[in-house]
Amino acid sequence: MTATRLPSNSPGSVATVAEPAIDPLLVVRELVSLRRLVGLYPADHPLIGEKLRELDAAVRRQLDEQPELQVDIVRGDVHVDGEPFRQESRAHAHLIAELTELGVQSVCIRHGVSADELRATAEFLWRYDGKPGGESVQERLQREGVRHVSLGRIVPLDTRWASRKWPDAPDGALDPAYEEALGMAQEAFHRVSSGGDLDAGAVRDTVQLLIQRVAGSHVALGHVLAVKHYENLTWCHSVNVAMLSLLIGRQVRLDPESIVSLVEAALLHDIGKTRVPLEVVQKPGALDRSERKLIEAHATYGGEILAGTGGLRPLTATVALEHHRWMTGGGYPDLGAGVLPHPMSQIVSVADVYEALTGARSYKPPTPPERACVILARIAGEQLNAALVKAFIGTITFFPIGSFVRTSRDEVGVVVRTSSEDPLRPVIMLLRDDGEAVMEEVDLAGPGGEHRHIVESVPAPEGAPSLGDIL
Amino acid sequence: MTVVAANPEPEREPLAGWTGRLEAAEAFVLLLAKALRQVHAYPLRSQVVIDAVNACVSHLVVTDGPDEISLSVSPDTLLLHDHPLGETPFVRHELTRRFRRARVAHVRINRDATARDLTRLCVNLLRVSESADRSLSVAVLMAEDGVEAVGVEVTLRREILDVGASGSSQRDLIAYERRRREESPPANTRTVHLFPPHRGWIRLDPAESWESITLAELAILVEDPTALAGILERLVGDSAPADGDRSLERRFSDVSTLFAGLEPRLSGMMFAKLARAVLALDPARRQELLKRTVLPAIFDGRSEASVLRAFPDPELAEALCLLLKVESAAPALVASAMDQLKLEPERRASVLPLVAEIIEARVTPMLGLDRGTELALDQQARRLTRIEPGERRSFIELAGCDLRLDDTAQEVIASVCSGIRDTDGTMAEIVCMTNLVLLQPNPEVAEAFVTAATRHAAALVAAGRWTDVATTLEGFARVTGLLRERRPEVATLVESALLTFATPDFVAGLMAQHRQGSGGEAVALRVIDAMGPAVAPALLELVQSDATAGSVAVGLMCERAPLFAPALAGSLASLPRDLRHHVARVLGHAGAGYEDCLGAMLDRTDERTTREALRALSRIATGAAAVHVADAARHARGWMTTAIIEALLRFPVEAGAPAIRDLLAHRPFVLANPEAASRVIARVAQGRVSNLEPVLRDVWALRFRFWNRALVRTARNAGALVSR
Ligand SMILES: [Fe+2]
Ligand SMILES: [Fe+2]
Repeated sequence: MTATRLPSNSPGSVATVAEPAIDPLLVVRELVSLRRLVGLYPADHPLIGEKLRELDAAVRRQLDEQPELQVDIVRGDVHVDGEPFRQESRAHAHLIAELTELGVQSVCIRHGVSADELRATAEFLWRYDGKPGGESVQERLQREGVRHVSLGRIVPLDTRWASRKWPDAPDGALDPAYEEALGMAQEAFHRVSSGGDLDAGAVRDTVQLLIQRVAGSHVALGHVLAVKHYENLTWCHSVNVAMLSLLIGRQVRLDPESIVSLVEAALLHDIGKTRVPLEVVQKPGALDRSERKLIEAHATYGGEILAGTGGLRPLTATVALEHHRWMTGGGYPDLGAGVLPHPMSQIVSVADVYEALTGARSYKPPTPPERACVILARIAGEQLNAALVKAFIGTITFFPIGSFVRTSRDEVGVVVRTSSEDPLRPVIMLLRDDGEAVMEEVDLAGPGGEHRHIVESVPAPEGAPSLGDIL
Repeated sequence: MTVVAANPEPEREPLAGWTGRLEAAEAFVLLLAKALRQVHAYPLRSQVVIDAVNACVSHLVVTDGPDEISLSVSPDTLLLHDHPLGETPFVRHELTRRFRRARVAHVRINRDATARDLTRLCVNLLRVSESADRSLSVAVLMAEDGVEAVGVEVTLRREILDVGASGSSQRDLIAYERRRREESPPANTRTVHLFPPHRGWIRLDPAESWESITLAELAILVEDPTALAGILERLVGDSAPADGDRSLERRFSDVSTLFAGLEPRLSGMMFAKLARAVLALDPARRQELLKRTVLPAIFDGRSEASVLRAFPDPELAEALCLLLKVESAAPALVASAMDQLKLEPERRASVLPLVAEIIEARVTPMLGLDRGTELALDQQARRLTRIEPGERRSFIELAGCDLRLDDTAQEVIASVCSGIRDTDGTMAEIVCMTNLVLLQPNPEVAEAFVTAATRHAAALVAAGRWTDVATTLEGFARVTGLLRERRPEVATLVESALLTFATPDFVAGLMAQHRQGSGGEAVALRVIDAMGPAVAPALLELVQSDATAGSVAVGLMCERAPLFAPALAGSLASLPRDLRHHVARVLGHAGAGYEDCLGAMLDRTDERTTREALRALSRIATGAAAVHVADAARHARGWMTTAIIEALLRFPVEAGAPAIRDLLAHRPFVLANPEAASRVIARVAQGRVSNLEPVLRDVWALRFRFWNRALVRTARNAGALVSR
């Protein structure tokens, strides 16, 4: 592995920086010439001796100050010690062609190399047919006593990765009011991402729709609370977070005015993502520093967009700015030590984390609600307000309405009613084996329930009725 | 601002909209090169730089043509949609060469770019092209400066990755992995680049026949997970060489993703290696990695958790117990974690007692559990260790989460509700905008928020909401303090916003609320602290126009004297005469350091100022202050002498005595003011001051001037002291 980087080789050093005293390619050029000589002349020919001395001297000069010299040819570009080498000349072009023809695109010479090793390498190169396969070149060189020279072939790294593809949005029959709210949110977000202004009137309408109609629908709650087998885009996530925030707000008995503000803020908390390229938002793996910064900037972007939009409620921008900040002062953006998120941001953060967990991502399947609750409990206190987490789990319970669950008797059912008194024992509607028809309702906390308990939540079985039909 | 890696081979484009306007583009490139040279040679605020940058801006404005100038950088020239520009030695040397050294592949300059945008381009280009730090990027710097009208794309550095010689087993594994993928390609997937494409190149032995290496194969070829993490770090391109040894922690998720994608048995082998690497970390680093990355992955099904399965039992038990150190987590969480890890019954059976042991020994006392909970825990531990074959996962894990809304939780919830209900809309908006200013690197964008916040603050002032005004201005001051070094441009903006409040009307209002009492004083001080010495002129103006409010203002300045004194002392010469005595008072409160300034204020023709300055000097009470007072006495007469003597007597003996001694040694003073001299002689005797006796003897020598009875009395006093 090349460790040394020579600043004098940096590209563009042509005009002002003094030329390096030694041409780093000279060594490889001499080696290739020696290869030709050992092939054409008898071993004791003076030309060989002379070239070998020249090569040896060049190597010694070069390796005087660095442990090794590596020359690589990548797609026809020469790199010296990992840095592009931009001085083009006919001699270099010739060298590149000759090496490439041999199937060698990389030569590395290490400190301590002897003249004998250089000669043996040249002889090997003359004999080498350049065809892949068979014994490794490294081993063959070592047999010839060459320990300080290595040859290499350079191939591209294929960075493609097959990541799981999920649908972009919920499918199947949705609660009509919920569907309408999704449509309105999609339009509002689309408008902003295509450079338009946020329509505060439309936002108010969506908030009213959510509070007055969607929140009253068990079916809609089922859609929002249960596991989501789709990688939801920002607008869908936002509607869900608004609904979940509304649930928390009602659970903690927030006054109606504040609830309206809360729902508006939750609905728009991720509006800043409209300024982040989708491929970065959805990227499954390693984000580099600038991509990470870009993702993290969505909170600030959101604050900026909302602070600059008239007709919104005063805390809406604050929540967008703060929803990734932690109770212990961590998270982003950095607003300085000791700055706690506003209580409204704390509510939205709980809803946001739960929603993100129960949705699918290219790098992970959706987390079932009961496990999402365990995770919320784990990060409570540090990232999230622990009391709000408790209140939230108390409201939705571990197996929220609309969840498909398996019982200890191996039956599958749908949760139709929950009780915060007994969050593990909801009322479920059992499904027949064919999944289709509804058989009976069982209250797991009631007289019929003592012989079964829920084992886990499961994906909706094939042919299962829609939530609308059940609820 | 796009921070995207450019494709090394740019596509050919038509001369989009520039046909017939090439001269204008050529001229712009020349102007930009000139600006760059000036920025290189002169300070940013110098007129030459300002002129050179403005020339670029005005050229952008007057030129018609497409909305942006989009330049590609080729080895020795710039290309405007494949048309070469700037082929003069000057442009090549000043501009093209720097673009190339800074690895800029493409630059897009919007026609509405401002002088600041172009200045930042020049500054960042110079910085990167002259730095040896390869991790610097013009694109990132421009993004950090918040410049959107100039987009820079940098060429990717190629990383040549030496994976070492591959053994025959690795070759077999790769062949096996390739066959497996061909035979059963993963369904329902989309292909993405997990790492930037075209960046990584693998150096293989020439005998290897592979034409490319996939990420999964790379994971097989690189034996050591830490080395793999290092390679991945180079592919992402933000490795800081200094903390290269942290690459395993930073790239842990990526390494896990690669391993998890392999065939299950092979994947198990690789995770075993990863486990060894994790266990080899020093304990603090290992714990940190487990807590941050590995343990959280258990519950949401991410691959990082798989490494735990390869941990030996004691280390696994240890790791699982780390789960317990979090609020609301209960011991049953450990059982749940084991379920998620799908441990075989035998492993569970051997790990659980270890967990129970650790819980008992360490966690229980730490959680501060009482005896009752301990018993319950004991029961639970026994329940956990009972393994029944064929038993299904149970929801006991959930029962383990402590979800009781106890009194503390209820209180927190009540405070959340009241916190929301009682939030004032205006204040919420001001705080939010102040935070946005804090985060915004571009002063032109920040200005809008500063203006809006200032407008809101002015409304608060008009409404007399002084506590909120104080909070707002404190926020401004905090931003100024935080940004002064990092983003001086934005800091200056906020500072001038603060200054808009430094008016006589504003301070009159502030003093009025101060007089109302009930905490008004503290609020006024908060405002004063936030505004700093810049508010002084407004306060002084108020002092002149309104005696009552003025005295409050002076009182406040005295309380914050160290804040105001330097500015007041500096502007003394230009202040109206009727303000000088107020300044003297403030300086007196500021303490040592202002003696010379106060000494200069002792002036026979300005009694008020002199008296105040004398009081101030005796308040400062240093030896230097006493010297100034005593010196003034030599030429003083009448009221001034009396005032000086009183001031001298107010000094602590130690500080005052040497000055008094020197004054007594000044015979004209004693002759002219024998009574005053008499008063201070008594004082000087109290201090232990050197060389006093000869001075006293000199005074005693005056005892024969019998025509001046006062003098005789003074001389006798001196004599009495000498004989003592
Ligand atoms: Fe977010
Ligand atoms: Fe979100």
